[in-house]
Amino acid sequence: MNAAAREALTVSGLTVAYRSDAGWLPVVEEASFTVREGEVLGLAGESGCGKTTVAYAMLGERRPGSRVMAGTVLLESQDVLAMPERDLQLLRGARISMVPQNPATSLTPTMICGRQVMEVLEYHRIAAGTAARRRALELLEEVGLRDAPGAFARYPHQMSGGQQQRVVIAMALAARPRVVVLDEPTTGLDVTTQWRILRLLRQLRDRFGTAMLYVSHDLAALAQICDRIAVMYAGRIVEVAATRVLFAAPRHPYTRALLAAVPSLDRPPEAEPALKGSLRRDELPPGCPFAPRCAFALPACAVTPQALVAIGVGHEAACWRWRELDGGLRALAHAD
Amino acid sequence: MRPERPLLAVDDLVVVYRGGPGWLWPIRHAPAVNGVSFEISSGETLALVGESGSGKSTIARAVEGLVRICSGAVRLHGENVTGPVRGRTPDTKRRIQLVFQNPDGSLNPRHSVLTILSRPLSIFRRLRGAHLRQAAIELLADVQLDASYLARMPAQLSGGERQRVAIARALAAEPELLLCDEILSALDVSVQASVIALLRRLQRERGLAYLFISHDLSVVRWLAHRVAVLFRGEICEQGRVEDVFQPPFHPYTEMLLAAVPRLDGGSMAPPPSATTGAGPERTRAEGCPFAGRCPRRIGPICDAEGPPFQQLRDGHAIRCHIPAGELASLQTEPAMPAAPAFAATTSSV
Amino acid sequence: MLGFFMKLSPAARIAAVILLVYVAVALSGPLWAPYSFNAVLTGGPFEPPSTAHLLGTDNLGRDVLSRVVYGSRPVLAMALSATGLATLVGAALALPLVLQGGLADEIGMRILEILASVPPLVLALLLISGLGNGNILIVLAVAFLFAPRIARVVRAAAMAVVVEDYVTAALTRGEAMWSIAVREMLPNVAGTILVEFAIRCGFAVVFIGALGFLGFGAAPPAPEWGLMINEGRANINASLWPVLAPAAAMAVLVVAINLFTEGLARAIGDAPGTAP
Repeated sequence: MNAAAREALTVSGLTVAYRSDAGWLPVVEEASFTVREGEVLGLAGESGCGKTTVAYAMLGERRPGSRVMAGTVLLESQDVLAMPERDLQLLRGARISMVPQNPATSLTPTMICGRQVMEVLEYHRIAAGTAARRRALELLEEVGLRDAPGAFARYPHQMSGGQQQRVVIAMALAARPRVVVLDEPTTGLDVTTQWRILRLLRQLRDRFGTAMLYVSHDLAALAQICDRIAVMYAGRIVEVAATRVLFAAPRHPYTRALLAAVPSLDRPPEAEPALKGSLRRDELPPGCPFAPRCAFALPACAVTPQALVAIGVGHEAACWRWRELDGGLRALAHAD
Repeated sequence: MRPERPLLAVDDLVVVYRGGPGWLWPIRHAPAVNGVSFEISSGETLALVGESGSGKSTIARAVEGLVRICSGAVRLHGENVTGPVRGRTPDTKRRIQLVFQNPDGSLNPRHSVLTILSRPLSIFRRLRGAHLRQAAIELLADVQLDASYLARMPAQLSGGERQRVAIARALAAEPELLLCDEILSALDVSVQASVIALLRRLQRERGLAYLFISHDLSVVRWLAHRVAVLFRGEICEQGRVEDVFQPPFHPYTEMLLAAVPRLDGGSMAPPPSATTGAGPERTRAEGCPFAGRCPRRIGPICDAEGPPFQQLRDGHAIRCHIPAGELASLQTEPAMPAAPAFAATTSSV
Repeated sequence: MLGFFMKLSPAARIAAVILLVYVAVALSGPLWAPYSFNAVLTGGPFEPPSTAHLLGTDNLGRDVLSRVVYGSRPVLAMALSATGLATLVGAALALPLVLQGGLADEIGMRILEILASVPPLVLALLLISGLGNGNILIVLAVAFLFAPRIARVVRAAAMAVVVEDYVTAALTRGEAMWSIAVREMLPNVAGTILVEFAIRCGFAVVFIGALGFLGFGAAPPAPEWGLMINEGRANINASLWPVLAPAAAMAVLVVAINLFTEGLARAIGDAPGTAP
């Protein structure tokens, strides 16, 4: 894949707010990003950063009590957010689909798995009858279920979590959508199962050129699969970079602190946790949302709004001190 | 090096769950925990690692006396405390405290933090009134929360704060052993890091021992002193953390470690046969429990005979038919394929 | 209190006001009711509504309004005490059974289910005809009927609570059964119990009225709504008011209780407990 690859999903200025006692409280502010064909974009962040809200907005879904205040989500030049519900229902599963976190709740417990895959094919008028059955079997094989006919006839509760997630992926890919949104698809699975699911997703991406938006709090899992990663904090994207660049040379202080907190087999954790305190959405300053917890913050940071600025090829960060910090952080690293 | 009498000794523990349509017709399942033995000394952290369903939590609940033990013994300072928690002396209950996985469910949503902390303080330390309040404030300070938290309800706390309160509640009993059942898995990494720092500090200051149950090997690597690797309710490898995390590995440990995702691109690729999906776990009841999935299976002996515990240095034990020396040479040679370069290299930068 | 009121739906707010009016009337009625409930021949029999008798008079010339006002006292007192007693007994049975679990729970619940499956009116009539009537006995009979039904509802709610880790934590501290039931579980099933209490109150009003109507409740000349309807029924051709007034009083009360209960259940449903 190359930079010339077409954009499959273009999000600009997405702002989503939730109803609260104090009026509409923004949970996602001015989020903009693109996912190109055959590309996997990771959306990283901790709980409450708004990443799941973004994921659902891609399918034109609003979570209860939320409202899209501004922005567009262009799926091949069509704005998903401006579509009526009837069109969205035909769109979902056909051109953009979702793999949610918990496969057990996204499968119907009273229906055999094969039937559920067939229903997707029939709903989107891709195949019917015996053709749909044959296609469903192929799909179950594609997602690496070894005994596809056996899996076809089994109920979800007769399968392990990893097998269930494979069935969900088969359903998400049944109509060959251009874009697949994955919301924490391996959270709760064992490491060996996670490894297999990630490998499967890579293979499917390479084979069909599907664009993927992979939402997760697990940076190590994102490192396995993403071409680029966007890091979110308090509803805002604070840094976007190619995966290797982000892990090797993070520029935003939050990205740095987050990476330092990820436990690793190869390096002992820092004695003093890099990220102190917790995100308090009710006490966000008017400027940089990360300022209250930032080790490098100046008084001015709390009152100066930050926007993403290009600091390298395909690398953007929302910190006006990135240049100074880069040197400063290097000096700090050498001092150790 | 190890004291004569460990703080906790678990000996040949077997737990079989009963379930089914009713109490009159219970169904006996395969053992959830089968012949597990380990010891924990004061000030020591033993980690139990393994996949879901490996019996990790059941072991903690058996030590706490919350599940029926079929056979085997749990000893605290050499004294047999096997049996339900109801039958234990208050002092035994005080010494062993359990911290739960999910901080949402472990605090009563209708109780303030003060009420939550006051129950163990009044039961185990017989504190009342101003003394109790003072002790509660000190407990909060121990977990780095200030006195303003006393009046808060659990719904007003973040996940990390809730887990701190849950730890404070366990500390209120002044325990010697903390059973930590996946206490980090519901927390964000930054919060995890601060809870880990807290656990380390408490151990340093009070000589607390932890039975630390986790599926996250990257955390266990740096927090535990010793590790027991569980597969299907049986320990397949046990030893000091630095021994378990380097060859020779039990083939299952090797597979688990290989699957841990790394930030720098990929994980090591698991041996090919390990990646084909979960097979039948045990081919025959008398054989090795891991035989069905083992990438280093050597032949019919794996199905026919339970493998021996090979005792290596410093209490490191591997339960495998393959001699440890052979395992070590298999696992150190660079035969493992390099991680496929799929991430940053294919990006459009 | 006011905050809770504001969380109710408009219908439930109206219902709450109506219920308050009923309680106020029952408490203050004797102070302002125009006549005594059994003052005979305050006017002629079967008088239509007039300024002297706002709801007319009955077959004995008693003021219907006064009798309806006085009649609110026994019905409210009996319904509340019977339901209250039943709720107390039901919760006191269910919580320990759930905590104990196992065989005791199984057997206890089967017994309660058998009791709950007997048709209530038949059982009540059996009890009252066997033991004699009287308000206390009616209260006991209704409580006996409702208790197993309430116990089943409380049990279902408690089953979801007993598996929570905070109950396990209390267990490992060695807390006494009653302490766990009252301290840990009760606050978390209180909402369910409150809603169940409100629902049963509505049933109790109708039930007690039915017993009075069938002649198993209060004896004449007591101003009991069910009894009044029965007495007025015989002379319904002469005047509609002696039947209509108590029937309407009962119907409005029951509808108000039901609307209030519905609002209550909703308001409790999104009560604090989990963060958004």
